[in-house]
Amino acid sequence: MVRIGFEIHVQLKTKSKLFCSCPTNFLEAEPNTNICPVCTAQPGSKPEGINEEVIRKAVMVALALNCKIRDEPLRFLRKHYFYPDLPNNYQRTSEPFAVDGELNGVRIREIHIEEDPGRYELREGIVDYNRSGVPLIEIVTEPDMTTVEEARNFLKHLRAVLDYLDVILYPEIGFRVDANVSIEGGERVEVKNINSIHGVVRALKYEIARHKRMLAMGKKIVRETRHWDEVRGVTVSLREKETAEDYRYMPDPDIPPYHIDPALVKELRAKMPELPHQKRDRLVREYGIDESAAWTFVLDKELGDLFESLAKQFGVKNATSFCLNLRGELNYRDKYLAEIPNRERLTKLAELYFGGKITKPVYVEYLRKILDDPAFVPAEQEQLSDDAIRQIAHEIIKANPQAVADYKSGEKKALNFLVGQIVARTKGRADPKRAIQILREELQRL
Amino acid sequence: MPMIEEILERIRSGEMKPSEHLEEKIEVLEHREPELNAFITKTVDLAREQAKEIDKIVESGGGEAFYGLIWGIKDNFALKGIRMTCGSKMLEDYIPPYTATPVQKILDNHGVILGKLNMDEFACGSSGETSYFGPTRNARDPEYVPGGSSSGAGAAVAAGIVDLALGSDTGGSIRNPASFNGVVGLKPTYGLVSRYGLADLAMSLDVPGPLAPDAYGIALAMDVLQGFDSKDRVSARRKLPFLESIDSFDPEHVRISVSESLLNGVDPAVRKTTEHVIRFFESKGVEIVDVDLPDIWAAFPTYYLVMYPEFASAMQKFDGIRYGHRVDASTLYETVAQSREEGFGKEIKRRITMGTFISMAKNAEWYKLALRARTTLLHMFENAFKQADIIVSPTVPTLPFKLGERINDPVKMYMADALTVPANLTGIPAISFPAGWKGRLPIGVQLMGPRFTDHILVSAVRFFEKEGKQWSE
Amino acid sequence: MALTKDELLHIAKIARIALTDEEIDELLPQFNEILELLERVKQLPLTEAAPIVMTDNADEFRADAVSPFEDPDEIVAQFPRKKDRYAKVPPNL
Ligand SMILES: [Mg+2]
Ligand SMILES: [Zn+2]
Repeated sequence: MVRIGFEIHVQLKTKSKLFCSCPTNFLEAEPNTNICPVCTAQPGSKPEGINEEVIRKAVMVALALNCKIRDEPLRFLRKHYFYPDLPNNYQRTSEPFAVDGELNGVRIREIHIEEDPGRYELREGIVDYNRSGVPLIEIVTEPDMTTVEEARNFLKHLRAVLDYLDVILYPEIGFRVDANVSIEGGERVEVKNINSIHGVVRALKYEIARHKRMLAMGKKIVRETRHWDEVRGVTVSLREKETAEDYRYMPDPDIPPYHIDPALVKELRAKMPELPHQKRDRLVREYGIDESAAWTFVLDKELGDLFESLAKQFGVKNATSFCLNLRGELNYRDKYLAEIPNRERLTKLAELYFGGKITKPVYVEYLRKILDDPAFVPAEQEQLSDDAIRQIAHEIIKANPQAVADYKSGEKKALNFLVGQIVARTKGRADPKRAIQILREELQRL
Repeated sequence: MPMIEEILERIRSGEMKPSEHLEEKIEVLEHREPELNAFITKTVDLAREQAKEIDKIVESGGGEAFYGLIWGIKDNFALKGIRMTCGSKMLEDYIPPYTATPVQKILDNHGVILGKLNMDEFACGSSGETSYFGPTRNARDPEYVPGGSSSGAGAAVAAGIVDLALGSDTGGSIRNPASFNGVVGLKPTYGLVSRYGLADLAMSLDVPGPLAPDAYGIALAMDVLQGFDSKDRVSARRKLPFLESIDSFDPEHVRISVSESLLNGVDPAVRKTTEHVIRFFESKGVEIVDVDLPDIWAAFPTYYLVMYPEFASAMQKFDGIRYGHRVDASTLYETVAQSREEGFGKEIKRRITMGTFISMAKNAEWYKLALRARTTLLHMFENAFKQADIIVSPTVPTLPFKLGERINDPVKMYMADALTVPANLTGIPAISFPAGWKGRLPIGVQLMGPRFTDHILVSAVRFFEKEGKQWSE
Repeated sequence: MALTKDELLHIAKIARIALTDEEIDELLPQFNEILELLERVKQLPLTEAAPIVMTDNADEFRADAVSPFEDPDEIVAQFPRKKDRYAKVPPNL
């Protein structure tokens, strides 16, 4: 049996870092500009105090994952290891503030808060500290998942919860996952630093296949840490140094313990937004769509929102088909709707299509263009006049005497072939219904 | 040496300009510094600029607390743009990009900064001999050590090069050199003065504090230095009335303890001086109570159990990547290891190694042991302070010793801290003041009180200065 | 509890200090002397310890406000080796 568990790191959406007042927007900033004495560990600097927003967002997540908030002073520990992106050469990491949760049938063991290190490019040997001190939460699950599919479903559900809570600093980055995998007869292997749900699925498949192969060959699977190589699609053993790292955990004497006030927990519980499963139930109830379509929509927060607004404008049936198509195209691109810029273009597309201004093939073409080209704007396309269609119909009839003969001898399929030719020739600018009508008339006259 | 009050009065009355005062001090500096080596970096130009500014302000009737008094800053406090070495090769060329809160307060209150003062490397030492920039010498007799680790601070104040000095105290680093040089040094209640900008030694023990020729100087400095700082979250939201209460020591309402356990094995002259102080207070009507401190012997090993791991943790950041001494090797590991090997002196490596050992996972019970011992000591002092308001002891069990005498015997060197470390472990204030002399060598006596009674200790020293006489032999 | 030479070398590795043989020969006996001293703490009548909190400021937090540091260039200027605005270290391949 396969057992899968996760440690999931989420950068929290705050304005300032965990222990200093530097901005968190490390993606947009020039290298080493979002830095100060605290987050570069200048001698004499001390942590400024825990960022209130970090606590609030962390507690929201814990509540959404049905965790118990521990009623004890929260201490930050120093986890010591030398690495160029870690300015103090220790990471400040809290004790678990929440325990015993559950999501999608997977138990959540604990959640804690920590600071993100900077960014170290191994190959070039350069370090940028802009990210150093950005707040993270680490969500640790029990190894409750037994298939890759379960693992994927859990992560998708978790991702949706985080989106609904609006707590992810950079939704396009999402979260970082360390996965641990074991199969019966082997030790537990940890695969570090996987950057997408898609990556997790690939890494798990790779790793499970590797374990099975090893066992089949009579080899032992040793407890180890491996690195996911996204480009090559393989996991690589991080040969542990001859000495196992001893983190020498120690409470940080510079950070007074923080007791999470039950009143704050109560306040946040009351402010909890609608969560994915609640929205799914509501969509089923209010719009009468089936549960699986509803779940598909709500797992992508923006898609769920789009469905509701389209349903109001164009009816439930239209909205459902539109959103299912969209979901399919997004899946193909491994993207969330939020990653698509200028999303108002999708509403415009629905207006054109459901208003009969564009044909189905054009709608499909436009949908793909919207997803792939941020500059593309869908517009009504000039439809060919009946005369123009008739002209083309003549040409098609002339060019396909065999199909015409087949039609005359009662072969109905031949008509579809001829209509297809017209649609192709007009690049979709001929309404297929009109084309059939005109073609029939012209064939009649022969 | 003129007392701080007199200097202030001369400046405020216009009799002497701050810049004239500075020039007098620069003369003393030129005269004494070659022998003492109390400074690592002199900031004479900066000081002259500052003094000129303050001249104008005072002339136009203004002026903040220090009115151009001359300060020396221990070289483990950051002053933006001026190198900060911590007495180490590791930081020989380090220019801090920011200013420590206590240093900023000194600047804001018109203190003139004459330089960064010598110290034991990363404040690890009790003799002033471990500095990468050479040992400091005792201001009273250059054959002798000045005490440490605020060695430059003790010597510069005693030699009259500066009026006041900012030091730091983790296990006695203010009081020890104050005692050895015959000046007053206060280790404030933990958290009363912000540590922002003070390089860490042991975070739960470190506290900045002043050294001065007299109690008045300490009170004047503390009124400025104390206060909450959002950049140091352990700093206290308390302010004590230092100058306001400096002359309000009331012998009728104070109980002072003497404890034989604090006099065990102490040098005879040091013991006599301590007893002399107790007799003085008794003669003024102070009630003397016998307080037993049975476990005081454990403070010294407990201190090392707490300090080593915190120090090792604090020193992790020095890797030659962001600042500091750098050795370029072919691998990352070697680059860091060799930068540290070359950048740190012997005592630093000794402490890092000990601290790493004690805090390793398999030795977790050591750290727990330290916490429990610390709690035991806290309770012991809490009980003692139910009976007495002030506990008197020698500051250092011995007289100053000669340079080189103990440098290769760490355990013996550590013994110098036996009577100062209890105040750091328990967070209580302690002050050392000159109370006697053996020939040319000064002898300091220490007063300890409950947390946030720093001002009462200062007033007690002031009382002794005014009403008492120093013991001598 | 006594420390062996191998243990000392292991610690030096964790602590990233490249101790020389000379230093090891000097440090080892000193360590064991210090450890013996520290062992004495065990003779104390120990009570169960509450963690020491040397502050009255527990349970406070900082508002989430940005206040950029005015001189990041001065921090960059301290990098002993740099490439553009990055700190430079040996590549780790
Ligand atoms: Mg972690
Ligand atoms: Zn910062």
